[in-house]
Amino acid sequence: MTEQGPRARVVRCEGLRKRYGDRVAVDGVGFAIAEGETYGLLGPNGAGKTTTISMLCGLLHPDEGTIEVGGSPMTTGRCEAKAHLGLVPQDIALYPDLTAKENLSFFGKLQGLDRGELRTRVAEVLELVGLADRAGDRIEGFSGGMKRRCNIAAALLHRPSLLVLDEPTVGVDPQSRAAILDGIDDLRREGMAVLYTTHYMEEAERLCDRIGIIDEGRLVAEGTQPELVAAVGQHPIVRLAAEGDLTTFAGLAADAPQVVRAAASDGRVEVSVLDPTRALAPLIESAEAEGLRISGVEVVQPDLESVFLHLTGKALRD
Amino acid sequence: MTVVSAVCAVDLRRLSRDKVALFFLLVLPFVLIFAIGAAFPVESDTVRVGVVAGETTGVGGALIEAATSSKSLEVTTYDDVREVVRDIRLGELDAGIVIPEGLTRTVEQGGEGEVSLELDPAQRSSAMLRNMVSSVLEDQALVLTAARFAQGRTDAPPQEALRVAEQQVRELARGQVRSITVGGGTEAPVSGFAFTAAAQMILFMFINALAGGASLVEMRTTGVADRAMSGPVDAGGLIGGLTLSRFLVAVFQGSLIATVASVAFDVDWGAPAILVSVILLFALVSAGGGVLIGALARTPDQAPAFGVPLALAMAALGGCFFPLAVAPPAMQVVARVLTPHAWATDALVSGVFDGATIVDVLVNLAVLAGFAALFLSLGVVLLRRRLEHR
Ligand SMILES: Nc1ncnc2c1ncn2[C@@H]1O[C@H](COP(=O)(O)OP(=O)(O)O)[C@@H](O)[C@H]1O
Ligand SMILES: [Mg+2]
Repeated sequence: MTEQGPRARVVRCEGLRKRYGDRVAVDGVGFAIAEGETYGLLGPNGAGKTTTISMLCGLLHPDEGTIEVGGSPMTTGRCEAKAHLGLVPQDIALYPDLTAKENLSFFGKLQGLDRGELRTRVAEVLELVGLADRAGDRIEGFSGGMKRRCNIAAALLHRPSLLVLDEPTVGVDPQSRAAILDGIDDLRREGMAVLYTTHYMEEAERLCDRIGIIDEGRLVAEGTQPELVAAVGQHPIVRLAAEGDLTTFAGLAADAPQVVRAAASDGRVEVSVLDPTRALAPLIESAEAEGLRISGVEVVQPDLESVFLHLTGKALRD
Repeated sequence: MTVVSAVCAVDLRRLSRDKVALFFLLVLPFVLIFAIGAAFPVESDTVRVGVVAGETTGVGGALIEAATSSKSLEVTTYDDVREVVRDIRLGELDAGIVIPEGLTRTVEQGGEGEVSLELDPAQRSSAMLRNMVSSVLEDQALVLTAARFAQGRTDAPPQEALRVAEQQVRELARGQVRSITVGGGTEAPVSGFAFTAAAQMILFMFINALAGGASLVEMRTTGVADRAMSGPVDAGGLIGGLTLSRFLVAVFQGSLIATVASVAFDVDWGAPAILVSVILLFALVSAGGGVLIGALARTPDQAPAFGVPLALAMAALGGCFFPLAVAPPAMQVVARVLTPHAWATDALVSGVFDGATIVDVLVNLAVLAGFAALFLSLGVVLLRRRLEHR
């Protein structure tokens, strides 16, 4: 936790609900983010992250719930709350046939920046994301990482107090990803509140002060990483990479002594155990007895992945 | 307002970088106008003319004689002008010459004998026919005037009589031949490119607007619209900017074709008020069509994929490929119900061929305004719903 006394809440939402036909995409989500805080919304694909963000940014009208940004209510029309907000959409929301500078100037104009401000801010944000030397090049010629960086730059032009990023590192090389995460860290240090959605556990761990775990539209847990791990009980995980009928084995393993729970996901079985030194040998034995061909064994101390597994009974990865 | 102009400016800038769009906008219309316009005289070596002979001697006889002996004319005689018009519509005739009864007597008495030409507006042969008829009339008038002098049937002094005679000859040559595009009449000879220029103008204004609907889809699917609307921009501002850019492109397209046709292909558009109002109203119609297809398409590629064939079909039905006047009456009705093209080309053609004034085409303009209102309001409502995700 990075509590340094009471800080202003930049965003607060409560009881957000959204359904598409029979399907409830978001089901009672609520959280608050303070100035200088990075809040991670961690969940698998289809969990409801984008829907939550769309409501938070006034793009989608919630069926139920309230949203306040910068002290003003958020609505789908033009409103005061939107002035505080910078959105980095999940897709590259840029025109590929325009240059980086032309794109940013366009979005700056939409934000109502005047001519002089526009010129300095475009230069500043390009510098910030390390694209100053590519300002005059069209987006279509950029690498995935450069596009992502420019996508972020476009949300910073008007100095928002809340930056909302929807899976901003998808399809990005590790180097660009590190640069993006570092950049977000810098912004947070300057006092910006950040809402960061991801299905990469490592990103949430690395970046976020607090994390909300979302699954099937529900916020199933919230807290700092140590808080979350403590809350679900600290069980190490034995991870077996194997071929064979993994699901049946997981079912058997779940009933074995020492085992808290077990789940199978593509090509491996994850077993939460009380004490790995005592659980490991019997697990491998029974796996072999079941006819599994084991290609790897790994013992992992509890992390967000195991928290997620514990809370939802399934793995975070697709 | 800054939102509308910023969105419009970006849209136009993107268009200026789209090579395919530029080809459709700047090159293809003129290639087609030239190819189609130039094709007609080549296509019809001999012009098929129907003659309704109100008299077979005197001036009328001379006209028939001249027509029959011309190698480039194939003459058929008719009893009724309505049959001539019908056969022009059926494509069995290219033109008709209608010689009124008592023409010789009228001309002898110095009166206005009117020979009318029934013409297919797409035919370039009209100018040729007109010249032939005029020159025969000119000769005949000279003969008759000379005869009147010889018979001393004028009491004017010789000097004055000669001047009157000359003037009469000129009038006969110019004023007394009336060309009638099937359904109207005009005075001046018409450029062979006129019909195709008008038709291609209407065709391309619409086709390019529908293809341009892709940029509306892109704004939605890229997330640009979402980003904009998470800031101080509402759907109305985005829609306004996109509609404005479609409109401006269509106005540009129309004006460009009008100018090039007039300068390079010698097209006389007739009343400027008709030309200007048709361009402006049809640009609104086109902008509405572009917004509509931009709202309906789910991917950017769908806009041209559905829009271009649709625009071509509407153009074909609406008389942009062949004159609607030549089409069967039932099709003319369908064309007018389903396409704004029919009304727009009709207004332009009336201006070019019939010397119509804006008052004559007010109905066309009102219908175009109606189509514009329909397309625009439907497009805006649907696009707004799409942009607002609800
Ligand atoms: N426009 C929509 N219409 C119908 N269902 C939708 C729509 N948008 C999202 N959903 C559904 O809502 C759920 C949550 O989606 P989303 O918020 O995009 O998840 P995430 O961003 O976490 O991957 C998914 O099951 C998705 O299929
Ligand atoms: Mg998403």
